[in-house]
Amino acid sequence: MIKIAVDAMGSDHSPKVEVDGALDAAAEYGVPIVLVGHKDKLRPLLAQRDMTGLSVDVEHASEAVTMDDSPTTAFRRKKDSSINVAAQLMRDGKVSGVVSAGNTGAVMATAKFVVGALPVVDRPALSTVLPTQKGRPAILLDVGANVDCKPHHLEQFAIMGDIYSRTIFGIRRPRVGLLSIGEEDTKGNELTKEVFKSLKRAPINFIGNVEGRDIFKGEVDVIVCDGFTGNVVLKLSEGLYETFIEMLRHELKQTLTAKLGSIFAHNAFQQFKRRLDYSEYGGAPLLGIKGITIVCHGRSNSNAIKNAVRVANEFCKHNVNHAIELEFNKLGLTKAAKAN
Amino acid sequence: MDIKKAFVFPGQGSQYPGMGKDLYNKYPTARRVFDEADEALGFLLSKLCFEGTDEDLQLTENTQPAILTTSVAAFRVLEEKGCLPDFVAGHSLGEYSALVAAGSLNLRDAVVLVRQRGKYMQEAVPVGVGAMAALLGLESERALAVCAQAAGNQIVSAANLNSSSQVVIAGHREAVERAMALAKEAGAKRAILLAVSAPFHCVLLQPAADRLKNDIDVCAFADLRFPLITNVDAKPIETADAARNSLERQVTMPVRWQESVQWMLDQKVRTFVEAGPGKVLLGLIRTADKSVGMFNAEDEKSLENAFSGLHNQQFA
Repeated sequence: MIKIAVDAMGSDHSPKVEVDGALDAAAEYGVPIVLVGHKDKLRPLLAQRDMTGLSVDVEHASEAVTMDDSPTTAFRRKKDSSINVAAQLMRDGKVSGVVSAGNTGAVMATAKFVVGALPVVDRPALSTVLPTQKGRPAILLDVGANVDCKPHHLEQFAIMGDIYSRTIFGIRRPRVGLLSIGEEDTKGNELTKEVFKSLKRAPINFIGNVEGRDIFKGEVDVIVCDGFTGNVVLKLSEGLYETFIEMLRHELKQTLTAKLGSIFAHNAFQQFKRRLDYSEYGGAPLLGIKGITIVCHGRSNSNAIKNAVRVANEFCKHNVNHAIELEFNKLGLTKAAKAN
Repeated sequence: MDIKKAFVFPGQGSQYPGMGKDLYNKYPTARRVFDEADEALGFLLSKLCFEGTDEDLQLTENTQPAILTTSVAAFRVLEEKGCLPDFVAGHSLGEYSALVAAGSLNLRDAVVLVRQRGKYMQEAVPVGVGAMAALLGLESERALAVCAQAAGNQIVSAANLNSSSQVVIAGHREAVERAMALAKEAGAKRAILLAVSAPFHCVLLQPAADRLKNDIDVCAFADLRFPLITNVDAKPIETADAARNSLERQVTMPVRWQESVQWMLDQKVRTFVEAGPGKVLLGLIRTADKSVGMFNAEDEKSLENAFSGLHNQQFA
């Protein structure tokens, strides 16, 4: 029986968006939910909603990690934090997955320390989903779980990303690309050149190097990079989007014709925003950890939480971890194999 | 008791200049479908549908996305009004429209995929080498026997098993012509050479099937929200894998439409809605069972008629 824990205390608008999103998910997908957070804050919100037919429990956690807490102190000092309690529920087999919109570093550290990586995986990777011109999302990993990577780490990321794309997005042979600074295999740094060779041999649809500008075009389904690069890409994209929207908003107020134009183009702008809406894609799964942990944006709305629960549910249903273990064993990518 | 409904989606041949224009003008939902298709393809498919000539629309790489988009636009309007089917099925290209309706394939991927499909099918066989013909008034078994006899060392086989008295054959031009002559001798009322540029649904299209597989490989498919009766097996499917498999095999195999319709009738489907241009499929269904309810959905008038018809049935 799949059951998903939702950390209700993490986001900028907690716990309202978490409660709403979790309940919407329970209603829409029929997945049982455990809301983890301070019961005095959760009960009044639950009382406002119609809970008929929904399986929703509350697990009390007296503390909450803030965005300012450092990952390790959060984990060590706040023993009864909602994210810690949620991770413990998963460790003890009481839930199959965890969704949190809290402090990303703290969520990752807690998942690693409390739940642990799959035995075959060296380094878990945080993967995110980006909108593309073609309308289909592209997976980028790692976006921040590992700032320094060895070639075999990236090889593992590629295999995990491939499995993620196949099982969750239903693409039979996802196009996997290696993020570099030129298409030719001779371009890049020592890390990417080494990875290029091993991905060429890997049983995936490896299309070679891709450049930063290719990410959003929709011609590649899985983009592999180290966590340092991935995080820069992610933050740059978010920043560019926000800046672009602000600049556009500013310019559209400058003259009367621009104002009129913006009224006529209102639907187009709404549609544009909808296409770039991160909330449809359901957060960033931490691949390679036991169970499944999905990290959502701190600014998540209830739709983002709902979709993260959906993705967590699908991860469990399709047994993605089992697929990762099978594939790693088959390819001899496991830690044990490398030791020999 | 709730009456079971099936939505069926037309294939090539149902296109006409101006199709979908009324949908576009009357329903914002339909407009969004055309806008999305335009954007995904990178040219104004909508303009081609609304203002293009017969010749423009007959070019198969245009025909395929044009019919698909019009069909999906009609479907989305039906859906918006709460009309959803128990089963879907589509004739050849229509199977893609049906998969979009069933939520298995998204519209953007689908329009690009069928445009490529049209291109690959066209390029698989040089112009003039292949042909297709409709044999009317000849039972399926007799038609198959005629093909076997006419083939010689060439290819001719059944492409569409449309109804008890209509079989479309495809293959090498000379073999198709031999089959037409033999069909008349065997008692066919008529044998008509079709104005198509390539022999669809026969093994001559294997190169197209191989190329299409690569495209299907990188498209996102989801499990279906309602069962689809496939062309190749005339059986229901519900999974992403089965959908891909069906589309791949479909290129070189006959469309078993008559059996698909029969399967739905056996499941007590009493209402058929043809979503998209024309009423070709309803005509074929009528030959199997005259008593079922039938609605086409291609413009405001037909849609309004379908809504009130479906509504009345529900509360009858």
